[in-house]
Amino acid sequence: MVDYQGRTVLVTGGTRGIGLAIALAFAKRRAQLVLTQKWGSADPVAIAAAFTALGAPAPRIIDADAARDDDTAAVMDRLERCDVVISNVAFAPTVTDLDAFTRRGLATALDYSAFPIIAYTRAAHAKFGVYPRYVLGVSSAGAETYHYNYDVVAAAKASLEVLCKYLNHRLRSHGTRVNALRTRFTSTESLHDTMGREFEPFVKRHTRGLFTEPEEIGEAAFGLCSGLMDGIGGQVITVDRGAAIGDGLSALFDQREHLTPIGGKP
Amino acid sequence: MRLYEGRTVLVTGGTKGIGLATALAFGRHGGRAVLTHKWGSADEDQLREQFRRAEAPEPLIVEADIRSNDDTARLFAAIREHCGTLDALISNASAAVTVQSLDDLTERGFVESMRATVWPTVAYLLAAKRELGAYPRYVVAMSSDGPDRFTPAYDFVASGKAALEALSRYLAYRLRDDGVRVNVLRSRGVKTDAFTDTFGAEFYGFLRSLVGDAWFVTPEEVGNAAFALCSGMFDAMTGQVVMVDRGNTFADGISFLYAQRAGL
Repeated sequence: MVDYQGRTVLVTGGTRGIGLAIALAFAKRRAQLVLTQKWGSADPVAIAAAFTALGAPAPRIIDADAARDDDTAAVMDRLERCDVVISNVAFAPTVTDLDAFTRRGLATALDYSAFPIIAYTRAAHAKFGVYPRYVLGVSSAGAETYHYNYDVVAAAKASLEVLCKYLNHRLRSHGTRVNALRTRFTSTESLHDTMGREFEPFVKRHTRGLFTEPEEIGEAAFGLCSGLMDGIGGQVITVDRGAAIGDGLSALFDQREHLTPIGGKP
Repeated sequence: MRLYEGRTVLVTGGTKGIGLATALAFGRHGGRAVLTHKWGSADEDQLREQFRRAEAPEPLIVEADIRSNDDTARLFAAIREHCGTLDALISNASAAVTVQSLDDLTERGFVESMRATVWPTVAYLLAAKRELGAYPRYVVAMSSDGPDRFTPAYDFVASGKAALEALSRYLAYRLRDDGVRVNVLRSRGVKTDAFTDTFGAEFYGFLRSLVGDAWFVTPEEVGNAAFALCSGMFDAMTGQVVMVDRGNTFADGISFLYAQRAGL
């Protein structure tokens, strides 16, 4: 429906999970993808194969620390253009109790998970003289409601969402649209890193319909950059199959006949 | 092949403003639009010409008052006869008593406004199931930022929109196993006939003195967003309320005017 041939899309942390799914959604529409990664756990051959399977050109994978301005500038230096920035990367210490909170942990979380959307957008302008047409922050429902051990990530995501609104306001005269996508649970490494390995089976055992596939989030991310959604700016869009509406004690009660009960009978 | 080729969208209040722009967005992607209006408020030849120019299938234009159960039954019988199925429902039309002061807050005005703002979305969904045998796969209800912030004359409209948004979330929950996506689009500051009818020409002039023409959102922007929600790209979205205002509402307030003061 919309062709991205000739356009370049940058996805931070784009080699895994939701970032990769978003990249593939753009690749399906023939965009040239640039994926950044820091920790290098990704297998470039497998990633290239995923793109080839779609008939898309292999992405460029660039090592870059999202919290370092010189890395950000170096990424832009290797591009010919930058039409879309997907600020997906997040990194924050997991907090298990109040004592695990540190001043430095929060600063790190903001540095990696909130500020890069500003840094990448500005760096694109510095290099090309124009702002990207679309900027998208990948956020999470944790910015609004309790998620397990999510305190510091949540604070960074809330900050990211607010920055998206201000960035949209500041860039609207340039025709740039900035929005945030809020996801809930997706079966990714990042979820397991944050919540632990037991979380996903627990949720799937006792509830249903609370998980979203990364591909669905990729489609929505593309949809926001498709031109059809140009009336939408500075918004936080929840892409969760309606999970937020159906996550809670009332929904568990409503579905009690069909779900595995948690804990003993009263 | 165009994405909506062979598919049908019903747009209530589809002959003007946001409704028409939405129908045209579907039409450009091959969708057959059913447009409703009330009291003969449509120039059908001129409408058909607009669809021709957009290379859209010819629309089915039906006079139907969203408040009338008889009209609803007639409308869905017509859809069954002419289209067979319904893939998307755009619940756009609403009617409410405007309120200028506390004296206008009457029980009758409230009840009638709620009936005409909230109920049609539910009534049409149920009618689709009853008359066509299935729910439409996509439902988009049109709302505004009225529930959150003071808007002139808008007391009953805003109350209705708030209820419509809440009900849409519940519909999304109840219909999740049927594969139905129910979402709400909020818009504001869209220059249409309804805008002038509700707020008066003076309000428009007042806004224009403070913000440029570019501030106003176009009906096409809202229509395209409605189409996008029904395009398959947003199938992971249901029960959501999405604002189509380019970020206007976020910046609306005295702080924005202060930042702009040199140009005012």
